[in-house]
Amino acid sequence: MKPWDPSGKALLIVSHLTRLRYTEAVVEAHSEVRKMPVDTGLQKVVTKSLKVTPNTRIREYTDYFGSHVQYFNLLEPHTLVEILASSVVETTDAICCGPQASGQHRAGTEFLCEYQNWSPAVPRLREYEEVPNPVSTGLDDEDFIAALRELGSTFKALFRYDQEATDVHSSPKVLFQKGGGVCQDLAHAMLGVLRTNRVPCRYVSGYLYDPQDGSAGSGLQGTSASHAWVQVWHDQLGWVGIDPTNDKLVDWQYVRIATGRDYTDVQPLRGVFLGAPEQHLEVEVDVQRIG
Amino acid sequence: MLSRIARGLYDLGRLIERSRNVARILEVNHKVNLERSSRDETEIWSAVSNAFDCDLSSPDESSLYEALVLSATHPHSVRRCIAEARDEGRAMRNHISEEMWLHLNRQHLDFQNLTFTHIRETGRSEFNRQVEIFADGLHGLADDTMIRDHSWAFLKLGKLMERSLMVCQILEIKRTSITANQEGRPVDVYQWQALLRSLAGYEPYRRAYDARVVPERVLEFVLKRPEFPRSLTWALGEIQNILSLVSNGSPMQVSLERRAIRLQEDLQAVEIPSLLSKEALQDEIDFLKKSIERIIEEIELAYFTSHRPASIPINVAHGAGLVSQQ
Repeated sequence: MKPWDPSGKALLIVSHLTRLRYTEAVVEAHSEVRKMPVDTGLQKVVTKSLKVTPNTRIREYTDYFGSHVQYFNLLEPHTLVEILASSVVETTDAICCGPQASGQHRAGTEFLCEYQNWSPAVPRLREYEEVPNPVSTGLDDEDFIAALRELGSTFKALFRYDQEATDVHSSPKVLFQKGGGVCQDLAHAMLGVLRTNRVPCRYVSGYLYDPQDGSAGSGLQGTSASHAWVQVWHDQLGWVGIDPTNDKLVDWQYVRIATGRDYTDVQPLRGVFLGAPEQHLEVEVDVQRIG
Repeated sequence: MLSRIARGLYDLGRLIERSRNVARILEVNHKVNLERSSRDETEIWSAVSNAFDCDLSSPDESSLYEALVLSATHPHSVRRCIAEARDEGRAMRNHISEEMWLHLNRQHLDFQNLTFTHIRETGRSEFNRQVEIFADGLHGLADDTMIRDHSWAFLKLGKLMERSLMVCQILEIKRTSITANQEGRPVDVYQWQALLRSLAGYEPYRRAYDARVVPERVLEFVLKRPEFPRSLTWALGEIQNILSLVSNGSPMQVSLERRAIRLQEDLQAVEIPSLLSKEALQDEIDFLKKSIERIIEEIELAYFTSHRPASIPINVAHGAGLVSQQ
């Protein structure tokens, strides 16, 4: 497989249900959702839809990073919110598509600088230097991909997948302390390691397909919820995705939703409400291959 | 109506009523003082001083005028009340009538350079009368020139709350001198008259009873006479009317209305003859004062304070179904 050869294709159907329950009725909820896949050089969105219960008007816009953002208000008292995002996406069996498909509107390589610097969820930490980093911008394309694979293996060896260790606001520091975390933490840590060397890299949210038949590419972590990984810039290859959770280059098994400097730019669901009860959250993600 | 506006008008009503009552109390005690021997002077003025927390070591008339009329800091100072009322009036200029504003501003300008010498030259009684005429004039203008909307209602509510509180204050000031006479000595009719006069109730009392001053009847008159507009029961009745006029039925407002009704019922249940001992009267004054202060606090909470709770964030992480609860 040539990295930029978009020969093999797959059709994936995704459903992503988020259910928020409150112990008492809450009012005036304002929510912003980033759950819609977008067209990139490596994937084409066939259909997509968002359904919110209770029924409400959904508005949308495209944000600075090119993400498809949908937002809605639930002003009346409610104890349950269900947000169901469904889509069918055609993905490509390639790991990159060249620099032309950067999707950036800013001239030259100027847009890269914001991916080289520290961001809200990836603060400067001494811990990044503990991880050996073979990736640098000067490598040629083959060495670059080999270096990425090596970095992925290092992460796989260093950290375990642990849903209890961290929470949504955890800094990568917690991952280093506890030695475990979820895809979000691993992605942040990898961004930190790469940015220590000023390698342009960004945070990607999306979904992951696991064939679950024991074939190559099965047995992946993070399929039960929305997933996150890292893309690293190379001048000839463009953005190349690497999944630190699964020690794997990003290929046809991944559906991309949004990219940004870190988690805070691409939060799947962000909002506020009035009321003081407890909130219970359930997330169900299902990805199937239909072609 | 914005709570800021409602509060401004409510404060305006309170300040005007307060300046009037303070002037009245000074006037009545000045006259009482003239009737009594110099030995009693300290007793009379310390009662006033204590009731308004003046913190004077040897209270006499001129030091009380300094504190309650000329002071720029004492919350009951007439000059301060009028200056603050004028500031409120200026901020609420488009919610009160032009006549009210001119009346308020003129009085403020007149009092700007007020000194005790000036009061002595005018004559204390004349000065106090000026304050009363000003305050009565302002409330009269409000009734005659304002649209009967919520602005008017909150202005009136302020006046009524201050008036209810003042009935208690005046009873407190007169408590010692009126109950002292119960123990064996003949009733000091003059002190009971002074109580009535402090509430501008002497003439109405005589009209109602057409007879001599009897302690039970005086207390009945200032607490429970529904026709007398400076009795506590009249003020409470009007407070109920205003509260039902401005309420939009929020739980806090409903509970406030209930509290006002409850106080009125408690007041009706009071047996006046049982109040004629020093302790019983003090207990009743304390109870009434506390209840009124509670209503004032609840008005603050139900109408002037924002109850909007802080928004709670929703944040869903990638990878795990975790949610933030901060």
